Amino acid sequence: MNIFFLVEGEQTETKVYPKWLTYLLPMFTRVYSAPYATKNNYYLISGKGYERLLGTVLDKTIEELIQTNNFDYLVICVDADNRTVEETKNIIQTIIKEIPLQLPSRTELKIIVQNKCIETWFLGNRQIWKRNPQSKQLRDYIEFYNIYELNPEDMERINDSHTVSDFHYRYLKEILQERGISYTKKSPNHVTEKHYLDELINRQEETNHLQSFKTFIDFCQTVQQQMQTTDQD
Amino acid sequence: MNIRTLEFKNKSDGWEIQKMSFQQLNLLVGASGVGKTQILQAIHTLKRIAKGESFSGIQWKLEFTTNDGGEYIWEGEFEDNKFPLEYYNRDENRPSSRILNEKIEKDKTIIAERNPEGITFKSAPTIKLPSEKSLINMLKEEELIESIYEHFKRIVLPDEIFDYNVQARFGITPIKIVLEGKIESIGSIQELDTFTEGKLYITYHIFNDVFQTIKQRFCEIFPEIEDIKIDRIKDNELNTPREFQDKVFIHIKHHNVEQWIPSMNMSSGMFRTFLLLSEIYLCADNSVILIDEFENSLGINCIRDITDEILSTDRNIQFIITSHHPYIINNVEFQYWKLLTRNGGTIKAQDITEKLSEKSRYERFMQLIQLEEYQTGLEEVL
Repeated sequence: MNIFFLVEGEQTETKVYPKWLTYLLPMFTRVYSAPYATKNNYYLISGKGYERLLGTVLDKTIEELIQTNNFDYLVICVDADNRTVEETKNIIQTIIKEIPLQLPSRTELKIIVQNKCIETWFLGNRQIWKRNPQSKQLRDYIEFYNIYELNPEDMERINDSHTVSDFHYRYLKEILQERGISYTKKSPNHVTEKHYLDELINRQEETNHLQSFKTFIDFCQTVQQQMQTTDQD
Repeated sequence: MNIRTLEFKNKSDGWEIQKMSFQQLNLLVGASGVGKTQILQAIHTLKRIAKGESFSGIQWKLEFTTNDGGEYIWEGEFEDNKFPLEYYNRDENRPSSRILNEKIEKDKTIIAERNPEGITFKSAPTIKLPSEKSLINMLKEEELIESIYEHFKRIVLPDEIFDYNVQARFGITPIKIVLEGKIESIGSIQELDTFTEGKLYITYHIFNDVFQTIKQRFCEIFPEIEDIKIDRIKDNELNTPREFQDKVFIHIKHHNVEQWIPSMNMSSGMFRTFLLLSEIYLCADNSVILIDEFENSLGINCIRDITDEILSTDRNIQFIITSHHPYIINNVEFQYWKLLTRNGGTIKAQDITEKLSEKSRYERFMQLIQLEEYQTGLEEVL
């Protein structure tokens, strides 16, 4: 089985997903060019932003999938930003329908909407939480929305000087900073660790928060099960 | 010459280039600061060593071929006086460093060798020779070495072309055409040991048909240009500053404009394009052209045409080019790429075809920018 990931983010997703996949789907090896995928490989390409992804990159991706005809899944990972998950999915599905080329019949489309963005997921780790932070900024954020208690995916922005995704990024940055951990889009190292991912999975299971994160975890489990079935065959 | 492989160590500055191989066309790609320019500088430093200069802490091994089909290896090592390479270009009173050992091999046979005991040439000891100058320089009168020495002159670095030719914007001192007897063909001009604008001047006067080819190509890139000439500033002879009076200038003429524009008033992109084009037509056969940051000062119209010119030239020229520009990157096949990474002071070139496939439908540039090594300059650790 081979999986083709098309992610929106330019920096964070291209570091986080490959690292998480080593824990979640360790039997898969990454290839750096789709035609090199043979067995149990995945290929991951960044669309370099939402507009480009839905523009020329998506067209090329479908061409690539037809050409290689070797992928079982096309997984598109995009931010919801100010849209709902359903709206975002509908937009992508509509665009794919409008592309004159058809996805190969063997390739199943899976859309993972990061609601609101990938940093929203990272905010779900309760271990990084501090009840009485030093930072005034962070205290303001917590007062606005307590992500320890409430679902990070339901959080809007604190004011309209930033987009909702920017605000989630700032919130995460502040909260990690309080723990002495530096987080940037370019170097999201800490959140790629296994213990961090495990905390997000725990949060999801215990609170039923982070539903959009769950779609990614569920996808990985489905693939795991399919692999086992194939092995038994 | 055709450079096959290069190994280079600068002990004074603490960096090295791991053995890398070259083809006829080479596109060096990589994050900023990864060492692309250092590779070009290293090759150019070897040219200067061949010409007799001395550099502290340099150790090298270069495999190359020449147009007689000979396969050469030249290696050596200077003592390390901790004098940074950068200073050599600025300090005229720089100290000399001794060469500790050196060896020139042709077709697996040692021609000349230096070690602490002395120098041998064709297996026989030589008289005592200065220890700061390379064997290529000192033995250049010898038939076996002469051709090697001549080939090193054919390494052309843009800094040489462009920095020097910035002066050409302020006039070329006409080379007396006393060479007439020697200039039998355009090949003789190409072989001349002089800068491009000097060759251009002679070409303009003796082989105007070749000049017309260069001109035509230039006018295709810049359709607004009607004509080019190399001449004195005549229109305002009386007002011409004294230092310009005995010089000639490249002049261009726009369609429907009466006046000629001398090179000092041309746009830098246009000027650079003209000189680069001229270089491709007028450099010696078997030249190695090193172009750093190819796209610098070139507009999109010139980048496309000059790239196409380089890719389509039928001249025997080795190109070693660095670039970040999507058009260049998209148009050079992966087999000609070297993806550079750096680990501490060690610069390493990767064959990209192990990772990226020509069969992919994505543009090459799109594939390149996905790579972590391209973004960070570090080797992939995952």
